Amino acid sequence: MLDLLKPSFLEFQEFFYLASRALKNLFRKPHYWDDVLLQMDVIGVGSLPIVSLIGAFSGIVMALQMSRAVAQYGAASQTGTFVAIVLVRELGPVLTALLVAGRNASGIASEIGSMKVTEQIDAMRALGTDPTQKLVTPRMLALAVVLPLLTIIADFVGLCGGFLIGKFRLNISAAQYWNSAQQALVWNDVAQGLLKPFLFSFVISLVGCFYGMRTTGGTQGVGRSTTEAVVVSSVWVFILDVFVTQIFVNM
Amino acid sequence: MPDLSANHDSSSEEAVVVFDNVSLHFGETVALDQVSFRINRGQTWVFLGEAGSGKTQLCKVIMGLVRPDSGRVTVFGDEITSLGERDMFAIRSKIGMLFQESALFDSMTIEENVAYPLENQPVRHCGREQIHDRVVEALRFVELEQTLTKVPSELSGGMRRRVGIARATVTAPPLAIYDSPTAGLDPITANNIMAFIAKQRDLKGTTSVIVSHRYQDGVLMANYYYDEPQGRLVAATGDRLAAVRTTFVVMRDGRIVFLGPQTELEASTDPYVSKFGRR
Repeated sequence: MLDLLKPSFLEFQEFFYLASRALKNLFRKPHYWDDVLLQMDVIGVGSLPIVSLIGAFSGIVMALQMSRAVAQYGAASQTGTFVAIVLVRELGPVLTALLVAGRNASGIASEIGSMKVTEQIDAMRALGTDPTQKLVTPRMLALAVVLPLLTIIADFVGLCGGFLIGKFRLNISAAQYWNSAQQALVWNDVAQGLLKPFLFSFVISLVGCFYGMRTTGGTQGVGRSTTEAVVVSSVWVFILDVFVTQIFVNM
Repeated sequence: MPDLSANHDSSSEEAVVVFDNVSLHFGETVALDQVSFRINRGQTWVFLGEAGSGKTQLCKVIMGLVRPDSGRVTVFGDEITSLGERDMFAIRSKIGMLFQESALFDSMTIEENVAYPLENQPVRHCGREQIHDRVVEALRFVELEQTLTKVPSELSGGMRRRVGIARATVTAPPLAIYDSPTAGLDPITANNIMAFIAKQRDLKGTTSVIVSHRYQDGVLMANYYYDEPQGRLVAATGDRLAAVRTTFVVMRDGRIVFLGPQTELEASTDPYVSKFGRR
């Protein structure tokens, strides 16, 4: 049993070692701001179309489903309330994080993994740069800034999607929809809606970098670590989500 | 024939790399097993051996990229086995390394690749203009100054290897390590690459460590020198031959099974060792 658990514990320990080094690097020179900006562009701007698209569709579906459910209680006009709460608290952060995990944890892992198997990581160290400083910290920083922003956009586009359904299918007036949506949201919702993506961003970037950095075994190994990065980061997004939600629900 | 290994273990000369009983394991596999040797300034060392005999790991240990399990490694007088990653950078800046598959950064242009050590080594500070000049000079050395704006994927394997040499030597390091510089190249390109390595050694006085599975590479390093007026390799004779001090090492399963000059290597009767002493 102990032998079975040992590799997982070791992996965990290595992950936290990488994470702590990446965090420490925030306060140490040199800083690679060019790389931070480049990653913000690749991850943030690059994910914008897919995140807005999925945001819109989830808002639409949410409005359709909710309107039927709440119609039983004669509250179809309150659809905006439900869409707003569900999107801002839960669906916006989680769906965006999952999309970005699928799109960028894999991208990060495969890029760093390819660099690892072609000895570019070693070359980096040989030529005077710390790979955690040059590769991990910029990605972590970029994602921490960009993921909350993407989530805000997904939330907003989702609310618009819900509005379209409200307006054209449920005949709710614009004023009514937006009023109910706005009144539904309290600071607690907004806080958890932004804290979640902030925390998820670390999971996605660090898990992607971690699996990239420990890639071995040629191109096959790159494929393996890419898959692992997506699976593990997605699972941890959900686990973290449970904890954060639990804390905020009790507040 | 003069003794090529002349004073290779005399302690009066300045030692560049000293291995003292170095061992390295990866789980069950042995990468290095009680390896000891001493490389002095200006010498050329050629490490031969089958794939998986620990040659590449040896290079990485010198470079401080891999920490040995036991033993002491001294590079330029500093014991590196106990140094942290950040302290290693000062020592690494004195070593140039060509990696097995060149390991060029494929997201960067050739110019950015060669400029990388100049821009990133913490101990080196030189201005933008100066960096460009030095990059062009290093690329001219390997006759590739026309490729500045290309990316590595646009170059052939041999050209990438040459860019790798330029990147390893752009800082004019006193020690250069070449990991399998000729692997996977045709014989003509391979000889070209070796000529650049000899040129670097003979014009800049670089202490050279060459890891290879081709005995010819070692023979070339031991018996030829780069003649600047003629601009090519010339067979060394007399005084010149003594100057080209080359030591051969044959490795097997992480152990040194032979260490000595070319004459002894060719005279060896050990079946494994003599396999590497045939042209």
